[in-house]
Amino acid sequence: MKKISRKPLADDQAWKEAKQKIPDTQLPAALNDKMQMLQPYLQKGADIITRPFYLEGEPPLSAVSIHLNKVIDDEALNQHILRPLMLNCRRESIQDLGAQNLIDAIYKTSITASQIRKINTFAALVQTIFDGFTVLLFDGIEEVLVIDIHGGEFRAIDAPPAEQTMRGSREGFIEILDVNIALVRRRLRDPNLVVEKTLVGTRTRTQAAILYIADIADPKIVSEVKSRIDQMNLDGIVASGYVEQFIEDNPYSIFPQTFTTERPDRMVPLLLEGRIGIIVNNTPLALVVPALFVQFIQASEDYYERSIFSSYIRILRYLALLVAISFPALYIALLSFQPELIPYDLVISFSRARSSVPFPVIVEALVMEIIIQLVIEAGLRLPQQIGQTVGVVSGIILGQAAISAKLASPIVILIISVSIICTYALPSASMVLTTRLLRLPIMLLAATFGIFGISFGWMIVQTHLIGLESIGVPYFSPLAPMRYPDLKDSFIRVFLKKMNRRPVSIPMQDRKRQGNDGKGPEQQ
Amino acid sequence: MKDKAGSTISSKQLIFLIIGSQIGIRLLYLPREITGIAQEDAWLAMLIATIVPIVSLFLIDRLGKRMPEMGFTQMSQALFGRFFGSILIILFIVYVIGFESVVVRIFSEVTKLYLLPRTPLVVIVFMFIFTVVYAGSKGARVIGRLNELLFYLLLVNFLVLMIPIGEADYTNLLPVGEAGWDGIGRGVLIAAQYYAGIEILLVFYSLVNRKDEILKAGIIATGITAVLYVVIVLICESVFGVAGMQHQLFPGLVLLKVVQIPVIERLEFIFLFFWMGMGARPAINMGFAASLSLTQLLKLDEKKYLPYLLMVIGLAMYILALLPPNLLTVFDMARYAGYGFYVIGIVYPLIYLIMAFARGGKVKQSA
Repeated sequence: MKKISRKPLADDQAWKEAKQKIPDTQLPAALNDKMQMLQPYLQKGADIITRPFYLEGEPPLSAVSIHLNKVIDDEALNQHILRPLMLNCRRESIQDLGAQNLIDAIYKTSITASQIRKINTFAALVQTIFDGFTVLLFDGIEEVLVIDIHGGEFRAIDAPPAEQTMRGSREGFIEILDVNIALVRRRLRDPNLVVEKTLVGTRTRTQAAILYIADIADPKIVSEVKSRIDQMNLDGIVASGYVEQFIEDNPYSIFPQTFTTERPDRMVPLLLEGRIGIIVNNTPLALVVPALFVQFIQASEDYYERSIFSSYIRILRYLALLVAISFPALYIALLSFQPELIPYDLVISFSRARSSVPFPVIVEALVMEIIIQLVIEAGLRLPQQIGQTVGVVSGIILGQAAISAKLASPIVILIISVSIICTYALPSASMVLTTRLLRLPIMLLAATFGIFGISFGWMIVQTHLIGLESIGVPYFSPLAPMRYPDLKDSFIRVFLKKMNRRPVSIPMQDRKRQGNDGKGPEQQ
Repeated sequence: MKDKAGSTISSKQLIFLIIGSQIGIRLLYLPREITGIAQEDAWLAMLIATIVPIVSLFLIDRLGKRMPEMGFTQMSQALFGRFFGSILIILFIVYVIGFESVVVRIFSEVTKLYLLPRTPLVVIVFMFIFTVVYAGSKGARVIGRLNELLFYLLLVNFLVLMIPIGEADYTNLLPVGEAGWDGIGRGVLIAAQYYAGIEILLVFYSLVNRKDEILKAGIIATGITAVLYVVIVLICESVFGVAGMQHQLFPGLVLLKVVQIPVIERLEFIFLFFWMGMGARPAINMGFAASLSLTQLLKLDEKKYLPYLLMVIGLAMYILALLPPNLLTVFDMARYAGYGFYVIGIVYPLIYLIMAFARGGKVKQSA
């Protein structure tokens, strides 16, 4: 397995110092002293809310709650923390309980929120405030209570826009990490599902969760993924795409080496095959590694439909991939180099259509290709209604205009459109990008060397694909190296009942997936 | 299941590797060459000729069993001493360069003839060498996988070649034994050269992860190659007849023009799609073997320097491929290169084995 190891940068030390800038001292007991220490941090952020209050008693115990505005659930703060502490809790009654430690008594008797822990150093206090926890400071007590009542406004769980299915669940990942983990956990209630959280980005302190099934996933791959994430040493990440670019094996490749999905029901089967999921806070797109090439041609619906239909659709998708990359190139090659390979009648209609176009085929095709790519790009960013208009205008009017202005022949427009449609028949957005990019060099090769050029291009692409690895796993498996048992789930998908074993392309510990095949625990 | 660290290949991949080194562009002109000598009995000669690669295989396997972990270069130097061992390796590399440059040239000539009549040969040869260097520089594991995939893809090509079987006239194969023992014997000598490629095992022996399966893999590979060769000879003979074939430079390609198919007009179309893979495969394997031997000879770091040395070897192939003035000279060169196979495939392992027997147990200590 190729290890990605980075030499310690010269400014690594500076990073560490920046992290440790907050003095890591014990907190003083007096509330005023604590507030004094916190003051430089509190005054910088107008969104930090401090709320002083008293616990009744003789003398009353003064306390302060600190939290970030709109990051926590206001209702929970009022109902489960402030209300019981201010109204129901008396200092004497807590002391009467005979509790050794006042703070234990406070949270064990008076706070109804469920996630509470104690900290006692200054650095941790500052960090927890900015991580969005609610902290409670009491006069005369060194320890501080940290309560997790994250909440506030966020997008509701919605159907995943880029991965719609007819038969699958309608739930997609959202921006909140904990909700996403819950979406996975609801579908995979195995006690062996491991969820490990880590922080990425020294300044953004973005939470990322690594999910895998402990007794299926290969520990070597798990530890490699973890170490790659740990080695990320940048100031901030805002999306899972950052993580993808830091952990991939071959940054120069045009093929996606991590699988992205926004469907929890797509992630769970992948976890069950021994893969590792990475969910990053604030991103509705989760990453799954190691990724295989064939995975990008498969959709979650393939497993929900009956196998005959999904096999048919899959073969169609492979055809679409082939057509999307080489159809325009083939047209160019045949027309400019080997017209004798085109049936006679077709050649006549081709040349009749082209007779009024003054450019060589390659120029004609390139111009149309680039225009259509621009149309796609333009439609992508516009609001939906305008985007549709752009699509219609360019589709009907531009095409017709180009033909009547004799800039392009109808056949080129047909061929480019078919290849674009085929591009978007692929279920993975990252593979769509690859295809869009790959079409161009193959077209140029075809224009220079004809079919020989296409053959050359495919050979290079194929060799490149075979050489790729995703976290040390051969990317083009199960095709090369050929894993015969995995072919059940590549070009076709056999009956679910017949898939007794997990795919061997992904290293894992436990091959058995279902059934009594004589080796399972049932027959021991 | 698990890919072991470094650059090992599985015994299954070895099968495809050997087939890949044997079958290449030669498939397209081999029927003409052999029928020229063995007449109607060309297929018989082809079949009998399998003895040669099998003998070569046995010899290499015996040799490898004695020194299983030693690379070809180490083995040569351990047996013959540093100086003579190095000379043997250099001869091997020269053989590979010579042999493959012929293949490259023939391939490029065919490409020029059928596909790109106006593109200069210099450019076509360059694209070919580029593919060889690019694929070869990715290491043994990738080459193993590439051969595996290409075998299946090229099976499609082979099936396309078989389609004209409907046009075949089986009386063209008769009478059996027309050439006589003399003709068949000389045919076998030529036919055996088309199994060249088995000698790649000299280099790859130490890279295979299960040594006990090597012999089996080699026999299977030779068997598959033999079947494909015999089938193509049979088809060409029965479609064109022996006399008719002598007029065609590449009877394999002409086969494609025999049958017309609606919509895609001609079968060449499918065939040409895998053209590059078909032509480049043996050169990739052998080029890698040569550059691996060279890195070991120069005691360089394999991962780091192999691509550069492969470029040097590729450059040598490039120059040598462009030297012959015309295709006929190239076919003459191909015959010499074919006899080179007897030296590398049979004589090499034989003298290595004799030396190993002579040295007895001392070899391991000196290594």
